[in-house]
Amino acid sequence: MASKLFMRRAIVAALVVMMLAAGKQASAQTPPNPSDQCMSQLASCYYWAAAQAGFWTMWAGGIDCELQMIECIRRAILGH
Amino acid sequence: MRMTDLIAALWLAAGLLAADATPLKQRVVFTTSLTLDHVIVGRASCGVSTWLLTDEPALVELKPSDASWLSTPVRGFRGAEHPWGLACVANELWTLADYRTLARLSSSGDVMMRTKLRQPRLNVFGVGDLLLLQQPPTAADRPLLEAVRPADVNDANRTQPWQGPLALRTAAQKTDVPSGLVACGLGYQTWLPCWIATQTRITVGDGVAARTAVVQPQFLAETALDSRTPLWDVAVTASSGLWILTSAISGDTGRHLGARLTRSNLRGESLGSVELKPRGRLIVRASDRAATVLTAAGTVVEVMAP
Repeated sequence: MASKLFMRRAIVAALVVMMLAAGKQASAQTPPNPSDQCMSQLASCYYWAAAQAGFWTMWAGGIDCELQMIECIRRAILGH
Repeated sequence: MRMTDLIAALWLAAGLLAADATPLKQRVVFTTSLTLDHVIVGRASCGVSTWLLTDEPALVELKPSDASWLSTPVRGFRGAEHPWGLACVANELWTLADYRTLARLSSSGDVMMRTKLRQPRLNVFGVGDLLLLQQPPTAADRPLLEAVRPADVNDANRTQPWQGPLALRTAAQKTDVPSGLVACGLGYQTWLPCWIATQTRITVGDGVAARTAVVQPQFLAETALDSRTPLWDVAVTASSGLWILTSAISGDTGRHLGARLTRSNLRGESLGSVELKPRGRLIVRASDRAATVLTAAGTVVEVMAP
């Protein structure tokens, strides 16, 4: 059980690093994209969620991260 | 042919008449103290008033015909709620308090009623006596909007797909959330213009496929715009004309704003345009000959065809 949890966290952490790297590459070439900023926040939030203790806390934290990302993009794209 | 179909056919035909581009004029009608400090998260047209909901949260009533406006704080949202969208149906104002809660607001800014939704929804618009709720883009080519009367929001049998924007195949991916978001402009009676936030294709209709026009503005290629959100706002008029506000490339503030307002028809031709300075936030009111716009400076500007 503990090794599964460790593996899950390791995978999430690796994904976070890859997403942040992708975001940095994109930002070097083009003006700041609100969606990229929201994705960076999502990556940070996943990192935080992955550090929570217990499967269900991680699961709920991950869902909250996704809702926050949609909220962030909706504000950036549709907010007047 | 039924009378409604005949009216719809004539309305659509009027919008396909040939274009005659003429320059537009603009004048300041009145000034508000609305600033860019707060994001406008919803707009609804209700009789002579246009209502705005901001993330303060505040409910703003604009009456262009009286050159008046009033801002009222909204009371009753809970801590974790981030309201989004605004609809006026049968003179009642509705918003999404969160993804699963539809709330009715009084004109004095109180949350009067909450309804838990069975499925999460991303946005709410109003047209005629219907609420349009945006569902997430879970399947390609599926209508993104569904229409329902306020009393029936949780009755699947009384919910109808609205023949407007369809889900793009890429929108279901986490990396392309913007392509799953729908925006709708100002409607006329039961006609509403809607589009996908990242696209330039506008559907104008009353929810029935046979009475829905797809407009591809032809003048966008000649306009400097933000390709990520090319259309900033659209209004449809009594003679099936369109006012199309195209977006500005993001400035230092990072906020998207409307740069150029174009009078158009259902063929997507330009009938005249004007660059807005200061930039436009949204269209407040529109008729065949004039459109009223709230600008980033807080002024309410009327743009007129000669």
